[in-house]
Formats: sequence, structure tokens, C-alpha cells
Amino acid sequence: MSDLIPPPERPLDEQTRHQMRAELIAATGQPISRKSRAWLVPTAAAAAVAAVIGGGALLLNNDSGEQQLAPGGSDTSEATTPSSPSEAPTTPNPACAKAVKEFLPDADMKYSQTTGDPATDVEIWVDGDQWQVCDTFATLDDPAGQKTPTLFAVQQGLRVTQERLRISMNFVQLSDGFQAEYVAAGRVSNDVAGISYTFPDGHVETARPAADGYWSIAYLPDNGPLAGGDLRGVDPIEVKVEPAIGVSQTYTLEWGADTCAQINHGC
Amino acid sequence: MTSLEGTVVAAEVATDDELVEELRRGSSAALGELFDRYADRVYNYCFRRIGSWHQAEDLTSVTFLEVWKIRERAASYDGEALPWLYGVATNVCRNASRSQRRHLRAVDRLPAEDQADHADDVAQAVDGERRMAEVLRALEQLSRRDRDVVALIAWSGLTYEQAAHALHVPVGTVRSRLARARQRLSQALTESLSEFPNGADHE
Repeated sequence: MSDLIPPPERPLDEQTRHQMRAELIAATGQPISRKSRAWLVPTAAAAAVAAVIGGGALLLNNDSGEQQLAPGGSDTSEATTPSSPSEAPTTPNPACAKAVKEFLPDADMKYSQTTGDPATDVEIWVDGDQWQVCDTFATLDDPAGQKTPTLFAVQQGLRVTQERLRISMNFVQLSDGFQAEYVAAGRVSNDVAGISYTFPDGHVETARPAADGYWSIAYLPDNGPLAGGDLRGVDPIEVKVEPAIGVSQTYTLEWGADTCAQINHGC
Repeated sequence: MTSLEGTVVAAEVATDDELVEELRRGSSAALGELFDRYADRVYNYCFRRIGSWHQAEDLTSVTFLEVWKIRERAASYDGEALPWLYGVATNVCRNASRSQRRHLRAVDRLPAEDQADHADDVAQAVDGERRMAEVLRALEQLSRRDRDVVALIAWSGLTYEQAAHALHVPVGTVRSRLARARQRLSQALTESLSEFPNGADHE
């Protein structure tokens, strides 16, 4: 033993931090004061947001910079009337730009889907035949901008597998608990006409892939256990992949094993 | 960031003094803000006292719960809440000393070959625990109070005055404990203490 220098410091992983904080606040028996958080979405707005996303719309930002709205499938379970939808960004989120560059230095943001109000993005970054998904929802409760966005693993290829359909669950702090967001994205071949996620609360998110196969879904539950991310005793998510021709294939996503698609924070 | 009404909402940043004052009045929001600011610091401080990342997580939780329990005694020093938080963490970690010793023995027995089976992150964590076990073993020759001073000043970057505030002792006591620690450790170890910003005597 030649010195007393301890090993380098490590940060708490984000999921542990969130959980710890929630338990701490719960132990005080008090809700967090509204003024202490810059981001709060009242229930009505959250419902409107869920309806917008429930349309399964994938906002495309093509190579020429023009925006196209590719309509997705219909939401068959909740018939809420959307408010004015948030405009999708024409420029990438800087947090995603920085985070993705560590994995795909030459990638550019090709697609984005706007979620919520204030808006956050599910962005698909592409470099050749590789892509990476970046979601900024979990950074909403960090006005100081110190949190990293959620990243999926770098992917390549068009094969549909259970692993590639996995969800990422992301959380932000509200005045009375947590708001969970459920995100999935990827790329499929032209054989796939649609991908539908049926959540245990009956909500359905459907994505219609773009011409080059990229797709995404994002769900912000308004209420119920899924809204706060309480998954005890909740049924699994069912994913139906519809081919252009032929029989649909269904996958069952198990909570835990198939809801941790992110690579940069714990479950 | 834009609110629902379309106006820009500026993020409010309270000072530590303000947060401590609000905490004393029973504000859980202030507690949450202090957690956001200092959970990582407390986590790493607890790790350096215990040598286990997992236990350090538990002790971090316990520390902030204790902060809430004794919130009426919360105090900032020179505009910073961290010295007081470290003081709470020091007491919390002391109570974990028995399980710490069991853990140190367990880590010591881990064969090096185990690391080949872990992902990089886990391997780093195990390496860190092994390293910390060695460091803590070297400090066992010191009294508990002397170890407190080493941990606060040499490892956590507190000044003598801040450490005195954290430990509720006079500054002179902190100086003498650090001096005693140096006397009892080998010269090489003493020199390594001096590598930290506050490890050497300074005014």
C-alpha cells in the first residue's frame, strides 16, 4: 500500500437517483412545491399530449430540411381531442447531438418525433446504415441542463426481433410524483406496414414506418399506474408487427427485461 | 423552456443559505433541491468511508432521511450546506462500521479472475471497491476521529474550518487530529495525503 488515494468518484446512476429522491420526498409526507420545478404538466394538457402522440404521427425531417407529417395509425382506445400540437424542431436537440456523437461521430439527425408540452424529442440519428435513438424527455426536470438524454444502443440491419422492439421507460419529477414516458424506435424493411404497441391500460400506439423504414412511438400516460411508472401486477405490453402482405406477428414485452432499451441509465 | 401560456419560465436557483433556511422551516422542496445538488458528493463520501458502492447508496438515502429528521438543526457554513451534510453522513457511516468490516473481508477474498467475467462498468466498480478496501485497511491504525478528518479534508476537499463545522469541534482539534494521523502513517502515505488540495497544512 503506497498511497491513500481513493478510486475515482462515480455518479449515482439516474434511475437510482430518481428512486432515491422519490422515496425521500415520500418520507417527508409532503408534495414538492410547484415553484421548485420549472416543468409541470397539468392533467388536462397531459391528456391532450397523449392524444397527439396516440395518433402515432411521425414527423419527418427529410434530407432537404422540409418537414413532412407522416400520419400514423389511429388510437382506438382514447378519443380525446388534441390541442394545438407542439411543433417539431427543425434542428437537433443539442443534448442529443452531444450524446450521440460519442457513439456515432458522423451521424446526423434524420427523424424526430415531438412529445409533450414543453416539447421533448425522440430523435433518430443516422450514419450510413447505422442509427441511434435519442430521447430528451428525462431531461425536462433538469433546468441546469446537467442530465444526459436517453440513448438506445447503436443499431444496424432491418430484422425485426423482440430486442429491437423493446421500450425505454423515462421519468421526470412532477409536483405529486413521477411522469413516465414510454419510447420505442428503430428501422424495419419495406415488408413492414405498421408496428402497434398495446399498453396494459388499453392505449395503443401505432407507427407507420417512413419510406426508408424508420419508425418511432412515444406514450405519455395521463393517469393510472403507467403514468407514474408503477408496474406492480400490470400486464405486459403487446407489440403487433403488421407486414404489407401476410399474417401479423405479436411480441410480448415483459416489464423489466423488455422495458430497459436505454443504454445510459439503469432500470 | 416555455410554459403552457407561452411565456418563458426562468429557472430559479436558490442559494444554499436559502435552502437551509427553508429546510429548517420544514420544506421538502428544499430537501429535494439539496439532494439534487449534493447526493453524488454524499454518495462518494459514504463509499470512501465504507468501501461498498451498494452500501454507499443505502447510506446516502439514510443520510438525507436523517437530514430531514434533524432539519431544525440544519446549518450552512460560509454559504455552503455541504459541510453540515458531510457531518450527518459521517455519523451515518460510523453506524455502518460493523457491516463495513464484514464487507472489507469479503472484498479482500475476491479472486482477481472474477473481473474477466464482468462488463467494464462492473469491473471498474469492483476495482474501486478493492482499491478502497486497501486504503481503508491502511487507515485502520488511526482512531475513528482521525479517520473522519482524513476523509473530510484529504478526500472531500473541505477546509479545516469546514471540517470543524461538520464535526462540531474547534478548528484546532481538526488540525491536531490531522497532524496525529500523519505521524502514525508511513511517510509515503503521508505524502499522498498532501496531494489533495487541503491535505497539507495551510491557513
